[in-house]
Amino acid sequence: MAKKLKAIVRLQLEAGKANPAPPVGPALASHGINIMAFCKEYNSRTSNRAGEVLPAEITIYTDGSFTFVLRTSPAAVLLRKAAKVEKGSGVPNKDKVGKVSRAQIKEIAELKMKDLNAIDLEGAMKQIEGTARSMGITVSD
Amino acid sequence: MNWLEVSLTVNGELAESVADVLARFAPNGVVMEQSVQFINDVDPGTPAGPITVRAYLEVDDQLEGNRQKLEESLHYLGMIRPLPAPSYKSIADQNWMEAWKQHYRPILIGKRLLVLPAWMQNPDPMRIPIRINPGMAFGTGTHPSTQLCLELIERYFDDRLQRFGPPASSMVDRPLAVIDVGCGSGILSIAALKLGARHCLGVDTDIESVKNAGENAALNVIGEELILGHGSVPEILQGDYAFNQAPLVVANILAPVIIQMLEAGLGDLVESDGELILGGILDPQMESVVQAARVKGFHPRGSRQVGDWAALSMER
Repeated sequence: MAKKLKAIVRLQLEAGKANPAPPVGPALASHGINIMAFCKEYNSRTSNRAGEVLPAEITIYTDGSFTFVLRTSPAAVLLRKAAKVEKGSGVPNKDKVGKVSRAQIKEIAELKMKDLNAIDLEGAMKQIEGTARSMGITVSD
Repeated sequence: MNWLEVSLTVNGELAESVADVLARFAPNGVVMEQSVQFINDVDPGTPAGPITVRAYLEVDDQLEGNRQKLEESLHYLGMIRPLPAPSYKSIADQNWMEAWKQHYRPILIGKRLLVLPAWMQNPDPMRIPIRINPGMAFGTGTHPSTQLCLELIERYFDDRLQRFGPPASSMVDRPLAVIDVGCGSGILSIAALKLGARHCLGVDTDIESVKNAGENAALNVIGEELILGHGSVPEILQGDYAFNQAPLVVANILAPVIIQMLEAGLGDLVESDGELILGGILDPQMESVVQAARVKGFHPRGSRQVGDWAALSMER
């Protein structure tokens, strides 16, 4: 059948814990997406990765059907893990909460390359560095 | 529980940073949405443009404090990379499990068919109801192409009715088989069975669709008369299923795929005096599909069109 795209929705949720409350409910209800079908499918695909934040990229078609794929964890989550910090800085331009090496940035960029709007690895690394800066995580050589 | 929706529309590079800030105050998660751009009528669409990041804060006695902290965090993020101001919207609590269902209405098709979701009461008991739960498979009945194919299937069975009289009430005595290539939600297979086919084979290359078609068949109290399988024309031709020819074959896919399937032997699935119903064809693509079918010995018997979308019935 001729599938025509309506929208791309990415939900950042904790693995195995999708439920109809916001953000899932309002994000999907406005497109007429079967919320229970999504939650059931997401939870069953992610139940073995409890504790991780796993984005689901949902492709919504004009007839109300949808597909979704799991994406890599958000850069911010991977950076926190790499810098061994619990959360980013509330004042990132002043208070630095941690440090990551350029090699770690490269590793994260490689992992996330397919999910980023980057032309090459260099561009992906710049995006990851930008996210690090915005979280108060410094990048060292 | 009521909610306060916070949203910012930013470029793709900033979306994850903004999502990370919002996620600190919205532990249930955040959502990012991007719209779709179309180059032309045939283009299925490509995600493009800025991304709207949304999060939902619980409306409780900590809301004002959380909102202030959130704005501070966005302010500091904005000092590194410029950001638009956040927008706020109150969201009243509602039964989200039911809210999405408001988008669906029963769809009358042809003279006798009615497509409706599982939860809805049949508003017209004189029509044959086809219950389809919108899910991860294409074919909810809302797309013109599905509707056109359903009309042609109905017309096929009406013609048979005129020629041979009504099918016997027993399933065993109904002689007609149908093959549905690219069955999606199973909507066409279910309609064919309800209109009088004895058995139907529905195949799809997408395993989720096969699963969804099985669920929809169960909703319509259809059992083993519908055989479902993961595959396409080659799998049917090589004998993977109970039968590999039928007097009626339907394929509601896309014109280029149909042309490829005709090359791969789609026409061989149709019995010598049978009919082939093809859907998912845009008006400018009609001639190339007809031509590809002619090469395989078919000629047009009828067609239906709504807007740019067309469906064809072909016979040998």
